[in-house]
Amino acid sequence: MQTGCAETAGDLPRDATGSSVVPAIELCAITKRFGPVEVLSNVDLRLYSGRVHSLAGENGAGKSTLVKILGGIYKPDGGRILRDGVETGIVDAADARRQGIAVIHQHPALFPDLSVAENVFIGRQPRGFCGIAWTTMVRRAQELLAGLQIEIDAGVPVKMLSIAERQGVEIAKALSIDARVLVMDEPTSTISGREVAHLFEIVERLKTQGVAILFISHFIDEILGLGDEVTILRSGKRIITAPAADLTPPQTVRHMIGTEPAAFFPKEETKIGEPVVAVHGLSGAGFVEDVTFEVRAGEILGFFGLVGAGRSEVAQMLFGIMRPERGEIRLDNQVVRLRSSRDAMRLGISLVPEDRHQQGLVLPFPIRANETLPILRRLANRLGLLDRAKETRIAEDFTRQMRVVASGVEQTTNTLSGGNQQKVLIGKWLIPAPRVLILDEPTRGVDVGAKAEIHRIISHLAAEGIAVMLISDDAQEVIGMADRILVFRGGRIVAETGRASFDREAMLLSAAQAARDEDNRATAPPSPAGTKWSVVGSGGLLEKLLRIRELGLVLALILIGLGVTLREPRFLQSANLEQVALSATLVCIVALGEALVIIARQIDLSVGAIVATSAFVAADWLQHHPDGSIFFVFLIGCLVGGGLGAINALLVTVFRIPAIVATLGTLAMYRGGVIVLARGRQISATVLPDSYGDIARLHFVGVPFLVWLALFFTVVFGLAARFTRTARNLYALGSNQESAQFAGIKDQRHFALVFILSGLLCGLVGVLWGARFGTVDAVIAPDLHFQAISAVVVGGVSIFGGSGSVYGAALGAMIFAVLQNGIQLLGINRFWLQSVLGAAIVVTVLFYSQLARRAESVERRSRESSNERRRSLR
Amino acid sequence: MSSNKTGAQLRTVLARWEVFLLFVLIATFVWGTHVSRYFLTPSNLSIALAGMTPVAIIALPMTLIIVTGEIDISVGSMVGLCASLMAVCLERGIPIEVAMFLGVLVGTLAGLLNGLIVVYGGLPSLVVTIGTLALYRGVAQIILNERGVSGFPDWYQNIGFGTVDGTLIPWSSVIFVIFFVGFTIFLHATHWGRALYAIGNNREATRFSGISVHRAILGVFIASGVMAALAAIILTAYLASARSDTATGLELPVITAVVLGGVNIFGGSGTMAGVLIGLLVLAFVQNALGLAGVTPEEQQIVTGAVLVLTLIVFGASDIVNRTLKRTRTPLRADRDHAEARVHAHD
Repeated sequence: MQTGCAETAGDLPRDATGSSVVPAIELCAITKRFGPVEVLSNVDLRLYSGRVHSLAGENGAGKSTLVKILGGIYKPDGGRILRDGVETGIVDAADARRQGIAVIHQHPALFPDLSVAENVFIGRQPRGFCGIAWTTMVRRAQELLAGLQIEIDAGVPVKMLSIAERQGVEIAKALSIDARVLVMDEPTSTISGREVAHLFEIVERLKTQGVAILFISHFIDEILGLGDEVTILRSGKRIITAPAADLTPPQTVRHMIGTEPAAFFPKEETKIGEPVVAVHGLSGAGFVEDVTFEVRAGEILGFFGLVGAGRSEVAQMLFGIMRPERGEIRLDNQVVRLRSSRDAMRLGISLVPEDRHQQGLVLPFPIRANETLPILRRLANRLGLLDRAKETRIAEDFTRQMRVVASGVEQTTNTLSGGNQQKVLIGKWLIPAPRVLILDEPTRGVDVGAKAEIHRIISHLAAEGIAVMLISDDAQEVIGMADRILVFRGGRIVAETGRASFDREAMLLSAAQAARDEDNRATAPPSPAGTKWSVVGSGGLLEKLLRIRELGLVLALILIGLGVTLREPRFLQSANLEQVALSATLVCIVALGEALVIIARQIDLSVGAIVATSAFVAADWLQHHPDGSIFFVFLIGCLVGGGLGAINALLVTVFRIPAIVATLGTLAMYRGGVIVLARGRQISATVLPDSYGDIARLHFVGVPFLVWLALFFTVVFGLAARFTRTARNLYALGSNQESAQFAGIKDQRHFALVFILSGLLCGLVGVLWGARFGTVDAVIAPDLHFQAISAVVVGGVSIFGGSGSVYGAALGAMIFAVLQNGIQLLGINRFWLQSVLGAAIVVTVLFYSQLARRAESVERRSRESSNERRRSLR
Repeated sequence: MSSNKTGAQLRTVLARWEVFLLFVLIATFVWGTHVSRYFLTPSNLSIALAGMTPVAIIALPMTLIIVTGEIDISVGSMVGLCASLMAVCLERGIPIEVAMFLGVLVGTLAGLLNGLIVVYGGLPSLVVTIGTLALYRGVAQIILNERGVSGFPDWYQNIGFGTVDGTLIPWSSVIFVIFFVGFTIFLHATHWGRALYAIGNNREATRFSGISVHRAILGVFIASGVMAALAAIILTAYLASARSDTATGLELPVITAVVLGGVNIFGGSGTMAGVLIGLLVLAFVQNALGLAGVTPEEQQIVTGAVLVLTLIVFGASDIVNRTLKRTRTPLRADRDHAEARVHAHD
């Protein structure tokens, strides 16, 4: 075994001239530890330009850790990294990208609300004279996609794309940073056969462009078919590196699992009884198809397969968590319908879920509370009171049976080791005395000692007559424990073996062979130009939706105006229209700031209070300095507003207080503050210089100055929202904060910015308020936050952040101004306005969210089915 | 015997917070006596308690809601809505008992609407209740306009500021205590309460454990509506009048008291005892401020500041704990969790 990077030229490949080629990336003797566990030991890896290097190994072999080291997420504890022969360090994800390493994770980290082009260039959008050059960006993105022969419209929002298409976007993104090294972490686990073929064509094209590719997959024929070289890891060590041509699938498997004899699992001899559970034709979850099996009392039925083969989905269907689309489940030969986990529990089925942190345990709870969670009802008397003594007794009993190492049942589970946590979880699901026990990866992330104990427990349970289903991707484990094994692949059962004929290699081969016969229903050979993805409806539906939003708002505006005019023609009088426009301006300006806040997935409830404070301070100053310059008044207002906004920013970014409660608190503080300041005073226009009120009275070209001002700000913010990187970062943060952080966007700085900006705008509006309304006191603008939020939400900005436009918010403000005016003119009880505001928020958010959800799924389904149709036609 | 480190630490932290709050309460009393010699008089204490009852009543279901990780900002408007409805009934000559029943009915429906939209619309409770805050307030304004209604019968007004015969204990406080005991038992001693903590800590795992998360959340929002109706009764009795803007801004002191009481704003932990002490602190701080001549509108600053300060303290201590890696609360430590998942997979 090498102890360092081989400097001997003999090891390096040679190019046409015979001189040795330096690897694009070389990992030398990389070691990584998590606590006492050494996840990678002395691993060497060399990636060469224009070549694909496959990385193979079972779960736990260390592949993902290696990927994370390359991606800058982990730092190795030992070894060196060399880039083009020069030693380097990878500081973080952004640094990895800077060094030309692009990683495509299994689940693409993109921004669903942003377009493909934006996703590709996030944080690095090409700029022209006036900010982001959209046409250039879209064109470049389209070129990149075209170069990979991916036919997606670069203007489509990513949430419309299938996973395979999103991977394509990630690859285009990698190319856009001129990545020299591309790491693909199990890209084929979640895509269909045809999409895999297309992906491989893309990889071939990347090779010709000189990219070094590290390809990780579970599927043996992909590993050998795509890779030029193969490295196999096992238990954190590099077992072998060889040209793919020199390895056969069985050899590969043998290297992956080793030739050690199966560890001795204490499987007790059990008498296997009658079938307890019988499943017939079970299908659902999108890809599980026609699963039929039965489990007998005392039997351990193994479910073997790779991640994504559908085993957990079948388990969840048996537990009532997931609804099957077809098929039947029988218990003791009676058909049962499982609508919830409670139904399943009542029938004596228990499921120990795969993810013990997300689905299994409530980590901050003590062991006792975790264990008794499913049987809480049974521990309570008729009044609902829990019998604590009984609860403790049961918990202690099962904790002892499971041999959990803890100081007692009061110890919180988040302080236990993985193995003990798993034991607690299993104990939890044994307490209801199940007849059927489903265990989904019960020994994942568990140390060897605990593993053996868990196996002992499982074996004992079977001996007691429980029907056990053991889901595992550890072939050794399954062979050691099970009486029969079902091999899953792509949502179906592809093989079944009895204990007598267990064959580890054969099993792994069945599970890992990506023959994908079920996908090859083509009647014609694939076209030589390569399969293409459909362009059908390229963003059509969504773009229509988007256009509908702003168009619809203008339409609504016109309709309401029309409606009011029909009943009351006075509406259209210029004096009235001017009133409408004026009353919209101040809300509009505040709504612009609020829109940006909401786009960033925050909220600001304190806007009204900030306006009031700024208004009073400014008017007060002006009252005492009647000769002061108007400009100075505005400055004061903006300083006050910006300062208060900065306090909001501080609370949200530094102290991580959720914006909702932070601004609820500051709303009270600021409002109370200005009340104290004002001491009941009201400052009216009569004591203020005329020049102040003139601001509101000023007209240009017949239109009030304030309206021009609002228009100006709307256009400025609208343009900024589209053409500045900072604003686009806000959209990214709102769409997916994690991906944004990953892309190097400084989230806290951006959040601080929006709150301060919102404050500044409110400060400005405060000064304008006095000019417009003539009097200022401490209680002005009491509902401004509602009006602003309503305007923003009705204007189409998603309350979840990441989408919507500033123009929409302005239109929303207009709509409410028209409504208010209409209510006044028509003599309708003006108190209806408040309810309308409230109803508008709720209804609009519900409406848009349902619509968006449906549009997404319809669009995706239509793209997938038209892709199918296209492929089958070729 | 191995020490139950984090569990004990967590508990000591909690115990420390409630003890700390008790000291704050004592300090408040000291300050109150300093502000005015009337502070410690039984009549003043009685007034302080009676004045706090509407907030206290709503703080009970609010604690449940925040424990599950949700929030209800519409409580003030629900109180206003129920108050306005009862006022309109009174105007129309409907007997007060029927009006009270209708008020409770409306409160229940309002809470139910909140719950339905949150659970079945799949929307964050924050957004929904901001909307219903405006909606319910608006409906209150529609039915009552700007009228103020008084003329409640004597026995009704007794609920608000009457006291138990022979003592100065307000009837409203008695009502509160009864409900407080009920809610405390519910949250701390029943399986329903345990389920709420589980939901607040890990919704998915709770769902996997056979507990209907939907029903639980629906339930706590309905409870909020019902108690809002009760608070409306007590409040209108106390004020001897009802207006459409009754209880505007009530959500602030309620949430402040709950957060002050040590209930985690992200859900999953907190005690009723803490909330009680928080309510008392807030009540007497407001009372002392009032004696010092500070108007209710001005007192807002203090309430808001208390809310913000409490969250800063919790936020800061969380940062400290995480950097020292003393506790690992999965709600905050998503990265840690992701790391653990990685360990599990690799």
